[in-house]
Amino acid sequence: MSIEKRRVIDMHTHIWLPHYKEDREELIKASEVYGINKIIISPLSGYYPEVDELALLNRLATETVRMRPDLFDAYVYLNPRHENTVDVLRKGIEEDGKVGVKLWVATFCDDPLTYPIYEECIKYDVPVLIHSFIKTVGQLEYETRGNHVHNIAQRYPEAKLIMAHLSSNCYHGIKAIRNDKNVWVDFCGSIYRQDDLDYTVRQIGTDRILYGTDMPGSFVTNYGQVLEADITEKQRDDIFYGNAAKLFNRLNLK
Amino acid sequence: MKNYDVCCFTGNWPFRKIHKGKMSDLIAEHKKNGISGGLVGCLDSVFYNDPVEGDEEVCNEIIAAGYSFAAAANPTLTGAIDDLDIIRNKLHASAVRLYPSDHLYSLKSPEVVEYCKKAGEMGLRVIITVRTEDIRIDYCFKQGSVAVAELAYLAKECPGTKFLFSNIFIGEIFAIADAVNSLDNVWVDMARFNHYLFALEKTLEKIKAEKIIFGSGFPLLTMKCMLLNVEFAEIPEATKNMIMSENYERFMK
Repeated sequence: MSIEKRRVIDMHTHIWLPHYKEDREELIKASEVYGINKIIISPLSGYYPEVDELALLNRLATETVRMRPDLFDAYVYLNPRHENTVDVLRKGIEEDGKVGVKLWVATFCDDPLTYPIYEECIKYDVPVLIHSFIKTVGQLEYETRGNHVHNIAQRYPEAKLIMAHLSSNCYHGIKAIRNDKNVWVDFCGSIYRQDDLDYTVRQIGTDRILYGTDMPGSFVTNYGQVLEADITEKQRDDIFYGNAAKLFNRLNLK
Repeated sequence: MKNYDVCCFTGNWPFRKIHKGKMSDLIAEHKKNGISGGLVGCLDSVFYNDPVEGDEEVCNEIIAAGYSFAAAANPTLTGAIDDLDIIRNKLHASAVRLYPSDHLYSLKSPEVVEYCKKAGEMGLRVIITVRTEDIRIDYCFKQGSVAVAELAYLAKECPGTKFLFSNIFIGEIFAIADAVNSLDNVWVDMARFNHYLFALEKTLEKIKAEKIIFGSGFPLLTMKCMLLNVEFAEIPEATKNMIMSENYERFMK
């Protein structure tokens, strides 16, 4: 058996409380085993973090990047319900060197509470990674779906938005944003149907597809999807590396 | 040494278009990935009122290609036990593949236990498909859940029948690890070993290597995903050979 290793930017990974140290070690080991060039992390815990918890999470992400700046970069994780959200964002970008913003499930991504976040991100020219998931069971109260991402893409056409997980069910997620040229997607996570990536390529091409894995979830699951997709080698390289390198203008890629 | 895929299919799926659903697609994908045999089921049959009608259409092509055939079955249908004769002697199947999450029955029900005992007596292996899709993305039809304790119960009740627990999550295997490790008639496939980094290595910490058989789930799932789980795994080559080849041969013997 031969193993095919590529240049890879994994733009969607996590360290989780309380086992963030173990997660960090696993991510480092994964970079060695799979040959990953850059891992962009966001720190997570509960669905609706309080101000102090969020500050801790962002500190842990900063600490992780400083440990291995050659390997790690990080998003600023925000809860739009917090009054200090914009201050946290500014500190994250200006002082801590974060490369983007992560929004999870505290609000829909098109809630008016989020507007100042996009306005700041446009100024800094950094992308916003938006968790998006359509579920038939277990949908969370404020869990973003494709139509929410579309709404914000229309409101802020200059914003760089990333709809994560193909919104889980690509057949219902992709069409919501296929005409929004300021929306990129990743296909990370535990849903790896044979045709998901090819379907996405048929809908939006490859230029707006980024490679993420949701590590410490599986790395190889999404790696296999790219290797198996009916696309050219150049398109594979763009998904693994090139598209993210273009989109994230603050990445440390040395 | 020959590599095998114990969990693969041909056919169509009612909830999304399958672009690589022909037997020739499966063979081509296997060839690209160094796999030359396996146990193939028919997706169309899963939702037919009479699954035998769907299986009849494809069994000859599968067997002629050098693969083994797993007939779709629902033990709760009228005449299901009698159909085992047809499945064994007319369709030349090596196994029956059950879909309790789609056909919505309990594995503890007497008719299911009787069916599995009979299948074993006839030399047919029984594959329990724990799920066909991730339930979060079900469309039009919601799958039921299969209680993992019932898997262990069924295997204990039918010691003369060889079972494969297919499309089972690692956490579910761990929940019945004692049964999987101790029962001689139980194997698991790795089509859904997708939730963790280093998933195979972590599974092997709790489950005996001789219990795990490579399965891709193709074309519902991506062939390379689970194959890379084996290829990248930091485990002895001998263990990889067991998973890709020897365990399948023991299961099919």
